[in-house]
Amino acid sequence: MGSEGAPAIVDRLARSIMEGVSPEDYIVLLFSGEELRVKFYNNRIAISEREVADSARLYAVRSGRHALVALDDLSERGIRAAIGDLRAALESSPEVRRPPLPPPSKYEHNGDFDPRALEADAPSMVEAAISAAISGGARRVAGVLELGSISIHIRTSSGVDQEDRRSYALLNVRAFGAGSGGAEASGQGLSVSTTPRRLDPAAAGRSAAEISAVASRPCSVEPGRYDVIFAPISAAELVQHVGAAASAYSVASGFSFLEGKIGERVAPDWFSLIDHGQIVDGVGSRSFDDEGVPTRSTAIISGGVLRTYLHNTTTGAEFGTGTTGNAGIIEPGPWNLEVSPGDSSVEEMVREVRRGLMVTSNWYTRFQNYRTGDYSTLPRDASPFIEGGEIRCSARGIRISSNLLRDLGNVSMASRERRWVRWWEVEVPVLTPYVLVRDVGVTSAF
Amino acid sequence: MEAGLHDLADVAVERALELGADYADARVRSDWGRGVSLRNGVPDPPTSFSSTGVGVRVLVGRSMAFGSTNRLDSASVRALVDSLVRMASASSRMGGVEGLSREEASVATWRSPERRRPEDVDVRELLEEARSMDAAASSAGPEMVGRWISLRISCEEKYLRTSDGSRISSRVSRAFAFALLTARDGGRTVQRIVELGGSGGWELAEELDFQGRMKREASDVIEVLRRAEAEDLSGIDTVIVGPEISGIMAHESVGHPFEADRILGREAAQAGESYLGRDAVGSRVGSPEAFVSDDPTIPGSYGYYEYDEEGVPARRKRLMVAGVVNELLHDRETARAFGVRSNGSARSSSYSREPIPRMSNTFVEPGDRTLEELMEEAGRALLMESYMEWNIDDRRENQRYVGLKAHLIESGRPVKLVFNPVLEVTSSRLWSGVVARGKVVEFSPGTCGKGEPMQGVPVWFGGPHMLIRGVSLRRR
Repeated sequence: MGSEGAPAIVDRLARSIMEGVSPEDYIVLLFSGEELRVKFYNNRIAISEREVADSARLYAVRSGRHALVALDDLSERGIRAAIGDLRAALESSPEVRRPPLPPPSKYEHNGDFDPRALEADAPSMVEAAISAAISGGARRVAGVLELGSISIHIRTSSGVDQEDRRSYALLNVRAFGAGSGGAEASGQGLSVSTTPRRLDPAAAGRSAAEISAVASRPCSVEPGRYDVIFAPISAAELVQHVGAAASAYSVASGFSFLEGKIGERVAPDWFSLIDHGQIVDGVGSRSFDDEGVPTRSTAIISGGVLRTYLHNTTTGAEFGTGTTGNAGIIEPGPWNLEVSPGDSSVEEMVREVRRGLMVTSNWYTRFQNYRTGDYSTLPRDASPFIEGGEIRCSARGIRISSNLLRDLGNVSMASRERRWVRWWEVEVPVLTPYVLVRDVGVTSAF
Repeated sequence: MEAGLHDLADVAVERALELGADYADARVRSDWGRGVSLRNGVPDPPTSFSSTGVGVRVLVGRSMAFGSTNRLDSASVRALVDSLVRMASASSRMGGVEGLSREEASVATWRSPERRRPEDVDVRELLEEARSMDAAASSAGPEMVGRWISLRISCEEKYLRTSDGSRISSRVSRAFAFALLTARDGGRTVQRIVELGGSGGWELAEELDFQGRMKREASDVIEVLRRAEAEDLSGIDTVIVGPEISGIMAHESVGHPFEADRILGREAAQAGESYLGRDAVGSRVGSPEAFVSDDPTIPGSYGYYEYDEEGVPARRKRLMVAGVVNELLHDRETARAFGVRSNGSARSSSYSREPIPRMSNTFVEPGDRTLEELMEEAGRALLMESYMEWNIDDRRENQRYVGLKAHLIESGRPVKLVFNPVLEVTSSRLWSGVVARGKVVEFSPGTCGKGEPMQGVPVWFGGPHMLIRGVSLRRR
């Protein structure tokens, strides 16, 4: 935060709004962060990176007109230009009814912050992950380590004046080993925490190598319908789409298969999906949302029933429910998603499958229709084929082709064991068990 | 961009060399944009964004470091460079960079043509266009129950300095429209994502006919909703794909796997690798009718640039020629690793992101047929003009496109709209099956994702109608 300090910058931004646009209401959000990244492949470091960034969002309301600007040049010149944009937008935008800004409330921080997150020895952590993967049989290892620290300040015309400080440590490891017929086999391991002290690079490397070993025995499976165990990395990727569909803005824009389902049963009665504003090791945690509302835990699904969408004050007013503390000034969204655990071991879940698959990781989920939830996605790395409760080989070249709403309804088991997932393909942190879904469509181009 | 900001790039490069870096480059970049969105005709608060910062890359021995700051003073930039040289040195025992290819230094200034600068277009005008697009969509039929429309105009100004002498100043403006249309009748829902855009000023709204396109797209969606039938497609092994689909095929199944960093494994833990190996150039992957290029110099294109992020002049790259791998997409790091020259494919999405090999405007080259001739030649086939769902595996082999506007073709003419037909095909079967291509290439805009952190860069993808045999089709 340079020499000036965050409170002084917030003062300057608030003063600039008041003088520049004379708003009835305003929000100043200031984000000051630093991130260190180490990207590696073929057992070597490709690049080490350091990103120092201050950015702000300014929201103003005047005579029923609203406008939002984002800026990251916080010099006098940059702020002057942004205020000019804000003024021009307020002058030329139509009047729209939005609720008044919320008043201050009681804010709590769960204490999950490591002020020394950036001091960890990043190259050594990368080396530990690579070594563990190679010890586990990998020939080459790729991935990324990210260490970050961010402070968030908010000041509103309704009296909110708060600061939140957060840290994170993320490691994604992909191991490649020898497969059959000269092909390579791959596996992925993750370690996710709010502090590098709880990051376990060796475990992530080992896990990637273990999954890669399973993938070394490939086989073809016929297209059809299978019972599928989604391991945490894969379950999280699908759950994040449920979280996105739970945003009231998605519902109102046509991007949600949860439209019209409030109060309906969408999953088995033991299943819950909770969004947590704050949770230990939840790297999306925040004390307050972008409107200054304290974040909270919100059961999106409990007892298998869809209970609520995620709201800011505007969508909360539109839907007649009030905010859930998930702003986005325009678009509400989840902070950290938690899927309830089951009471089975992973081994018991595998034994339960007569003919099916386990998906260890996936990517590239796309929807034919967001309203209905028709989607497909690509498993990657090992996809163990299970027959008679035993893993036989790893299915090669498959695609999941299904419907997310139907999949939720067909969830039948979950493990006690849960993992935090957050990586390139999963942007919202998800704490999830292994999840068994019955009757999932599987196709292939091969 | 204020002239004084250029000095920060010079300060960064000179400081890196002082500290013993073997190579350094720095860019000062400003991005600005304004946007509006409508949900069923009701506007959200208008938004704008502005971003200015410095991104610096240093190479010390075999170790590369990249860093960025938006604290725009010489002391902050020097401190950043000091930390980058330290970081590169700290990872020297594991550094994996062979170096950069040697390239001619370039000194140039370029701008994309624009008649109405984005800065001169106010929210009122954007909203007026968005409302007209919304009205055009609504007029397609009462079933058009959902319309989410967003418009964005932006400009990007940059000064790039490299330690081997390149100094490039540039400005490119863009306009982009995105819409999700939802049509519903009883139990059936059909959705369509529409994307329109290019490089240039606000004149693009008229030149690209945002309103007319919206009306046509909405009409197509209503047609599919009312008339498309689920069809048993087993036994049909021929498809004609329209420009939107030949384009996404060129992008996903040729452009990405031809990125040299993926072939080296540099994206292995993120966007994945490639079906091509290091010695792929000269190998056959398609039929003699398979031609794919990437060209950043197409005027008005969404992926337009004249010099890349490392100061290398942009040029067309013929990736696949008559089914044979002709050239890969290289930046200077991969070019060095492959022992070739860079072909100007380095891009980054922001001052805070490292340059990596990227596509620009990737397309199937035109052939010599009319659509009527292709339909005559096809026999019983599927004509798939547009899609919603698509994806491809992380080695770029196993891909799928689910059609939206798609007709069954018999005796050389469309006979029936087909609901949600699925084309699932490997890259080798797809490009080996290309039999003939149409004369007319059309482009679609998109935001291509790659890198860690994710870098979304503007691209066009396109092609002509393309006749492919030997594929499997089925209903969803």
